[in-house]
Amino acid sequence: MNWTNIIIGIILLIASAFYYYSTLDFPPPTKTENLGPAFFPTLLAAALAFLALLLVIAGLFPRGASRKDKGAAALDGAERLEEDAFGAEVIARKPLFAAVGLSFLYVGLISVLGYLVSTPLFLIALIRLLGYEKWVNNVIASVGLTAALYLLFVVALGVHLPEGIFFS
Amino acid sequence: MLHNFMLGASIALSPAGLLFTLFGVLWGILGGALPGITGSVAMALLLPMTYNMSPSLALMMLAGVYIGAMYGSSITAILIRTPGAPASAATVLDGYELHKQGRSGVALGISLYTGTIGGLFSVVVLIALAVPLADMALAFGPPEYFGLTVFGLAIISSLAGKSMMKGLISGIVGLILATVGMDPFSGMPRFTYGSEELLGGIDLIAAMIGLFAVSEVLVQAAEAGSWEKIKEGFSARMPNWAEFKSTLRATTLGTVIGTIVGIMPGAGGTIGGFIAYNEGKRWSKTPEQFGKGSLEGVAAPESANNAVTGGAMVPLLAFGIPGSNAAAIMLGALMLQGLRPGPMLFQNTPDIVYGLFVGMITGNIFMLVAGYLFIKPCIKIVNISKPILMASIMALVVVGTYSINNNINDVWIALILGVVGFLMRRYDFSPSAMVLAMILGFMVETSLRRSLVISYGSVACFYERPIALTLIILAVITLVFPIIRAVRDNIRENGGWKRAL
Repeated sequence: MNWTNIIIGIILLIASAFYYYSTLDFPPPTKTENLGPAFFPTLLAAALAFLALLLVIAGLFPRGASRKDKGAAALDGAERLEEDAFGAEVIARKPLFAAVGLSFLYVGLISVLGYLVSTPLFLIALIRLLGYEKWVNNVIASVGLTAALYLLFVVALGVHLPEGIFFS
Repeated sequence: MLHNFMLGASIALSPAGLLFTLFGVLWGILGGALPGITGSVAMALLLPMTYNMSPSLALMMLAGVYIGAMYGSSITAILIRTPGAPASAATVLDGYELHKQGRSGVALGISLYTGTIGGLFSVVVLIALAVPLADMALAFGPPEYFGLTVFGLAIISSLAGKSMMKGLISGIVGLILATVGMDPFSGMPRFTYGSEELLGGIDLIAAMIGLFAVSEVLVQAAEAGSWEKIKEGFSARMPNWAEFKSTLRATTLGTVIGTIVGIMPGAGGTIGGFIAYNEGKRWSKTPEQFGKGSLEGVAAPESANNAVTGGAMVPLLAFGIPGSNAAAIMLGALMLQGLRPGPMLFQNTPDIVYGLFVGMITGNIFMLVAGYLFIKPCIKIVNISKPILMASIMALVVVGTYSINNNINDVWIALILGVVGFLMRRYDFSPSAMVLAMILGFMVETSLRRSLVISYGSVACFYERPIALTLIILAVITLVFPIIRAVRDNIRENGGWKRAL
């Protein structure tokens, strides 16, 4: 059994049910516009539910090594749409979680601490946790990047970045 | 027509036009060369900055990135056996062999020359096709647009993802996300759950930055440890005339295949490159050399992936339908300025369309020159430590997304969709199909509902109009044919219908 597909399928089934449920209080179609706001979403909810169900069923009865798995490996990568490929078999957890966690933290803190304080801190921490070990270069790069982005967005493009409690 | 070209040239050849095109090409070569930073990531990162530019300059710059990236991705494909972007995946096979044989400069030069030929040819085809197609599309009503968008979505979803089922799910979820916001007909809020931020829908630019750029940074972070550097000091001898001439057959094939594949929605440089490689081998006088350092093995995919750039603009400009990530981002840049691509663009703002035509020609010429002169500094930048690069991209994403509307909520959307995109890629779904569906979703629904308004509720408008009917039938065939084929193959091989699923 392919548990990943089963779980994703179940999540999508719940999502489609919730999506459909949200359409129930939409106003009915009018005389001039006979599909109304609920028609297209209902159609999409049904399509998603159908495909999610197929995914669950396919996960319950995984097929054996099919023709495609055995051969045609050379073209297999090309059959995907541009740039969706993801090669790694093993995930490097620490850098990944660091990138996700620090980014959310950064966006959360940028309104409080302001751009000029939070950005170098974020960069120093992320560069270190992604595996770069030279502290001096790290700090120079982080401060330099903060200044470069400030020049580009604030000075050149006139964007108002959050100033935070220290500068306002 | 000539008048329009003069108008386009006056913008593309102005100092600002040349400067932004050149900047785009350099940024594209660099982005393409950085493993992980694909052409569309490089384009998405520039999107927020286009907000303050005139639309024609913005499009020229983005097209320059797209063109440059197609060459840039071959640099790392040849030198470290890692395609900078999937579009050059086929180039690895012979390009890296040539590098091992000490003919690195020859391989890079062939990639550059044949890429320029492919790119320039595809712009000519683009001009020849887009203008009459846009004329034709002027007569399209809502039923035709409904057929066109559904057909486009069907192709995109069935090409995307490892399995067609997951590609279709990605597409449907994209359509669902597109319904968030104000209903275009009644004006009532749908799926906003009381949030005023969502009334205008999920911000497309933020979504693209998240699904393309953020997800890529996360993929790179998850692959930490497998980061490689280019060793400098390789042979820089460029190909001579005899070497270049030996690739002409493969270049011609690659150019034609790339242009055609580029026009098809959903297929792009990756597929074009692989088909061109296979056909180049089949028609070559020396097919046994393929895989052992054949120049034709570099010329075919590299001319093809550059030829894709012009082709991909055909459906975008003529119908307003993006068929690839790059086209989607260019559409995003137009929408930022309150414009919608499509046939009306030719009528109302010919400077944008013809400026892009001329800009793509200068972009290809810039690529030829910059590819020659920029290669050394480019390798220096590619060799900058990966952690610093990835962290800078993340900061650029946050600041850039914030700057679009001065709104922190857009940044949250980009981050959340970045995580979603990462998970989708991890489990073989397709963020690209989702983005394209998010863009087309609005058109699908409004054209469907508008069709039924003008036909007073009769579905006859879909089968009495030949173009609309043909497009809908094509969409159905696209969706049903792979299923029939899979079922037939499985019944033939396994003797059981269950396995066909």
